[in-house]
Amino acid sequence: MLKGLIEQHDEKALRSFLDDIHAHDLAELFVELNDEEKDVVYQLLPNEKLAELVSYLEIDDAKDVLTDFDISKQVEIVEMMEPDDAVDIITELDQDEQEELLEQLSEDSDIKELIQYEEDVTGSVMTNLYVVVPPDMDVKQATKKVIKEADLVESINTIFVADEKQHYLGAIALKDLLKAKTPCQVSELIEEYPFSIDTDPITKTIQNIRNYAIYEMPVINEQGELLGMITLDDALDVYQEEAQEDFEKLAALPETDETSSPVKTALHRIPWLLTLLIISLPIALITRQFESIVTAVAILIIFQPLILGSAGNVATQTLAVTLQMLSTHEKGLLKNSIKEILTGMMNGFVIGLIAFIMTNIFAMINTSLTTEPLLIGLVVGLALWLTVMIAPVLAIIIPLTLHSLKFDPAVASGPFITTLIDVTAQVIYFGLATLILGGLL
Amino acid sequence: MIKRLNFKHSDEQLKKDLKPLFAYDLALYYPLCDDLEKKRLISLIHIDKLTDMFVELDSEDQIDLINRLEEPRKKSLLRNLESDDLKEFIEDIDPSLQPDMMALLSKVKAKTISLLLQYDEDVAASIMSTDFLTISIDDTIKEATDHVIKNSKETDYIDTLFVIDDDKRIVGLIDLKDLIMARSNSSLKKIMIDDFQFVYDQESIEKAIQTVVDYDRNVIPVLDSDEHVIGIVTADDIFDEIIDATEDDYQKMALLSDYESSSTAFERTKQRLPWLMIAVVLNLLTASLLSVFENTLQTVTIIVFFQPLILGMAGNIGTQALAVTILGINKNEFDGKHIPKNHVLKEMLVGLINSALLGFAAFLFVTLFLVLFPSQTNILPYQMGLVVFGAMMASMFVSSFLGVIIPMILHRHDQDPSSASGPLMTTLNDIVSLVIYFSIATLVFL
Repeated sequence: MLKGLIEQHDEKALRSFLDDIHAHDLAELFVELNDEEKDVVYQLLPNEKLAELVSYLEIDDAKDVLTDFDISKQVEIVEMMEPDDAVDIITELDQDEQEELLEQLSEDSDIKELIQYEEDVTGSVMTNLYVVVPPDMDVKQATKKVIKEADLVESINTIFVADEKQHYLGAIALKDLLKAKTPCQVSELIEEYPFSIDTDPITKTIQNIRNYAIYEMPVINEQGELLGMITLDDALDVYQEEAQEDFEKLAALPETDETSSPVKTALHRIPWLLTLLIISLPIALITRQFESIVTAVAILIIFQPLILGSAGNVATQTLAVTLQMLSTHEKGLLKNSIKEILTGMMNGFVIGLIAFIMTNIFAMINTSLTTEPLLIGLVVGLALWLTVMIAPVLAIIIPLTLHSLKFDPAVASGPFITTLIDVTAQVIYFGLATLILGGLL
Repeated sequence: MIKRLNFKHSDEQLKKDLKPLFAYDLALYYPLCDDLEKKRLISLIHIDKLTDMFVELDSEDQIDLINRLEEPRKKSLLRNLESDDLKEFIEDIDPSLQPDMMALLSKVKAKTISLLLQYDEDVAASIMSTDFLTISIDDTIKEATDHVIKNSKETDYIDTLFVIDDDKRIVGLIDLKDLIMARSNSSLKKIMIDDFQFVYDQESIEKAIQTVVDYDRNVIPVLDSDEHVIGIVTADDIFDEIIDATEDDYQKMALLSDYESSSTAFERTKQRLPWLMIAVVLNLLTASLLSVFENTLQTVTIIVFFQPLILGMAGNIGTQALAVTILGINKNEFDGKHIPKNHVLKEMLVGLINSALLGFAAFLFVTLFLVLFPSQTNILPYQMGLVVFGAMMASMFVSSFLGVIIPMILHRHDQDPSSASGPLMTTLNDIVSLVIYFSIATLVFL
């Protein structure tokens, strides 16, 4: 569509097309263009639309577009963007490009303020595009102020109230303001309204936006001064990013980028896989200690995946629960851990019993493999029970330890736990086998 | 979570204590109260706040609360509810209680609710609310503004208004902000957005979610086939839907079903056990399949050393491919229901490269291992290294292929792609990997 219009050199049609199209749709079409075609679009887009386009592009594309311009135009564009979107892109720029741009921005630019926040705190995604009214203002003047400033802000559905020292007092709904009859002071309309602290983790603020079902969450500092607000759509974007990260961590998948080449993607994922390969060394070492029992009772080999797999499954479940509790800062970790361990015991008992019976039957049918079906069943069943019981314990202790050592428990837990569980399971399984079947050596 | 309220306080004081508390926090607190405390709480909380609190409660507690109210308060609470919340409440309660509740509603509302209840649960209309305002295109700016201020009910969503023509067809949207900013000599036609996003009532919830997220709208209208606005979907409802869906994916990936932090150990056991049992049974079936390799196992027992390694690596690469594919499907990167060749090819290539590289790494690893820690048998280290190389490469490649293709096929047949991350997938991986491993070992050593 866009490409076609550019090829036809129909400037008028192109202009009106660009004028009407939503920036989201434009962003999707834009990435398909080659450099010359992009230049044509740049010529025709006013700064405001350009700023919108940049906000809707994927971060890497946005970075490229922005750096296509000279520094003075860059400044114009980022100043037209919502500050939180602008910060997202600026932080991705190369060091010198970033410094140059920041230097050119005006002293009191909100971008400079926002960029100081760590990436995962509430302050880093806030915007200051809202209307504030003082508590002692009459509703009539307040309405006038709202109408006057409405064009500059993101939303006027919620109007924040702060005193002359910028202390946050609450919020009023536009509905109530419009319905109020003068004389009436703003303070009479103030509702209790939730707020976030700028240094709160962003995940906590997102939870609260959802819990309190609000579209705008004001952000204040420790001194109670109103600094900005988080809108629901920003919260949604951040939530989706965070959720994707968690999901990727669980799958030991480094951050995905759909556009990179297969070779690049492959190399990107290799370090993790290699780590997983190397840390499986202890598993082979442990198994080696039991070589004689394995040689004597080769049937043990075919039940090994069952033991390791089940322990791994149970550990994954507990790990996910523990990680979720850590990331949402939920209370009751101890109580939850006890429940998880109890769950492991009960599950282990039932599947251990099933494995005992089935292994027994299996060994009786395949008489050539062993002469001791009952003992083999006992080894497999008991080993399964014990490992499934221990798995949740490891899946709780390891993330908690990593957490207290200030490592990200979501990244490191998976591989660590897999290895530890495998080692433990091997020791239990072959250890039990040596104990129970030792006579067969 | 709020601190314990002090019920020894007088009604007057307690009312003051309650005032700064938010409905959501009260909703968390309510189920923990005893009978008497609940009674006092309810009598002291203003009906508007009580309504907000009611929305946040579980279905059981909702019934508990409503049964404690006197008839008139019952009525006003139900009437205060937004239509989507009301519908959800009626839908979740015991069918025998439904007529009683419906009887408390006004005729119009009751009709709306029974209409809403008829939609399938996966269409956009099933999550819509009917509390919105329309304005006529012929109105002047002043008439429209007055209409909004006079006629909007407490529950109405008025941040955006829907402009309709004489046939009640939608022709545009106006943000309240733009309406009150407009000069009185302007016209609705001039200030309305005529190129707006919407969903049809029979379109999927995913479509509605995608539209709200992509276009950063706080609300989109739901239209019937004649372009009449029959409801709205708001961003906060979408937020809930998204959170539910992502948590669901995450839990499936982590092999948990319907996890609730409040459930007891016994409930957790009951939930997870079926699934673990399936895994055990499948594993045992795998074991019986593998008994055909009896001879190999008895001669070359050292293959057990590297068995966890091969299974683990195949599982890891499969999980990665699965996660990428599920993320892609969720983000609607793949158009429609076709299996996207590009994605499959790319992931295949990635799988091939990584399985070759890791196969080679494993060869070095195994050979070195057996040189350093010689086994009791007379197998040459490099021979075992070669077996592991072949087995690892083949099984990792197959596993990454399965990780890509299974969720795609599920998606194509309207099944949830994330259910691929389950016992079936793991077992399939294990069987394939072990058969490959043991076959290669048999070929080389026997």
